[in-house]
Amino acid sequence: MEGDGGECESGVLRREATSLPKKQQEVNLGLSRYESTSNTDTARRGDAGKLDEQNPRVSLSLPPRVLLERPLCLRQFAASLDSRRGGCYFLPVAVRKTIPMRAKRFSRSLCRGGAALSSESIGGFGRFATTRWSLVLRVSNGDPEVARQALSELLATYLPALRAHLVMGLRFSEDRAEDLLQSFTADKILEQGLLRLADPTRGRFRSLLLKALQNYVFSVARHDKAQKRSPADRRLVDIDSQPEPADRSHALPDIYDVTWGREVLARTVKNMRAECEQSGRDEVWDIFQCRVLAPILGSAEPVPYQTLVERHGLTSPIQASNLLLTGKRMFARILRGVVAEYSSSEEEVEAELRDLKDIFARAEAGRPS
Amino acid sequence: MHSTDQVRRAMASSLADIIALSGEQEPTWLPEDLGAMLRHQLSAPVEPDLAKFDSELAERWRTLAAQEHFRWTRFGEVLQSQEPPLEGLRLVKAFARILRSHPATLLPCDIAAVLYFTSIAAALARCNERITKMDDASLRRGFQWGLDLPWIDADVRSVLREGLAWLERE
Repeated sequence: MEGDGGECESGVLRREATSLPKKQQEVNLGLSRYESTSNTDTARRGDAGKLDEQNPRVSLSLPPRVLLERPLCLRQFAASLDSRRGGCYFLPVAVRKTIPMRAKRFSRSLCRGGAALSSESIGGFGRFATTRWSLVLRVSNGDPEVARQALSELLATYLPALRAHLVMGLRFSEDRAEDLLQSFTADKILEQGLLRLADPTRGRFRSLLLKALQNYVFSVARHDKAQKRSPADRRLVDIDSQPEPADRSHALPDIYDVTWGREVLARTVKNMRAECEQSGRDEVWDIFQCRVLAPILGSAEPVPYQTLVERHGLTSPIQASNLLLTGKRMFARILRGVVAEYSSSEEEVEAELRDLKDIFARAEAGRPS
Repeated sequence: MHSTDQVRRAMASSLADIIALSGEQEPTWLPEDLGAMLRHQLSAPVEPDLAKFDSELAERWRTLAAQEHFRWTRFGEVLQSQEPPLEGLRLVKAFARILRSHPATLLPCDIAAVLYFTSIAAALARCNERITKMDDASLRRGFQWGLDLPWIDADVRSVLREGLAWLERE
């Protein structure tokens, strides 16, 4: 253990590591809330002064043999989390070098099924109490488990939009786009903590994310052209210092925005249905579905109120109409709540809601006849 | 297909419609809805609805209902009776006027308008009495408007037709 601790980069962690049995060594995956008191670590990350020393590390508890030999799937990773353990421990250098690989595998799992990392799938940890905090802020500043949940939800909404931008905007093949997204998630979001750097004064979060992806893609292209990449060398050019790439898709952010808008609405519909089920208001959901969603989305005829009266044992069509109004208000409230999760202020929420309407209007107006 | 999948595949115009509709607080009615609401209103007891909006009207109804041989209790019974109580028709007309403008009403204004003109037509055709100051031309327009509605039932249509015929004779 002392030998392992000797290669540890953090003085704090070295002291903790020496007190642990070998079987209980853990690995730091370098998730977005990675933090170190070490000058070496700070220098490596290139963002001195921006680390929050109050935030604890994220840690796993798996035998080193397992980490080296078995790829981590999303559920294995989730199941291995042990929030009851305090303190963090470093593995030997040989294992730490696998960290980027682990992060990439984790990011692959997130890209394929990020939404699966719900509080329910993190075995036994139960449902987190959600608030109206910005998801972006929760990823950066919250509890590790909350941060992970927030990250998963955030990516579940934005990855389809980013994917659409790569495929339909920048004309990458779907396979290449998937590779780029996985690498972007692993390198920029997980390892370099992109989301910690999200600053509301610099613009909307979705715009910042798109710009970061565009810069990353151009950087990868330049890097691939410039040199052959060594498997051990995962470091890319620090694109923050690079000149702003030419915007080659100025007309196509609509695809990104429309896809983002679809995910926001899909999430709203999903959350509304869940809320109605959980609160025993199935009739509100059914009436909203029959009178609003199905006619608009499926071109179905609206179900007459009398049918809904008989179906739900209501007293009159007026009552059914009132329930529809309740459903509409619920939808509007939940939509606002979903948008608020990606916004850092009330002003931004209002702006995003206005944008949402404008995005679909522009998309429809620009559609070829 | 699940609703969330439909959202992801929907046209942008459809998604814009969802956002717009979810913000609308004014209900939209299908003809079937209006027909169902009218039937529901006609089958409703008069006194509780009057009491909800105007206590004086409710008190007048209670006084009327206390009379011997008074057998009408519901809106439809008053409007579609071959020998309706004239005071009852006046109260239904007054109730309809309140419904058209009261802030607390949930009934569509078209329903209120049908009750209004049907009570006047019933008074003309079956009591030979005018219970309104509206001129004949306005009444004709009102009765014809009601007859043109696809969702009113046969009994209401009959009363309006009789009212129109009464005006033609005069």
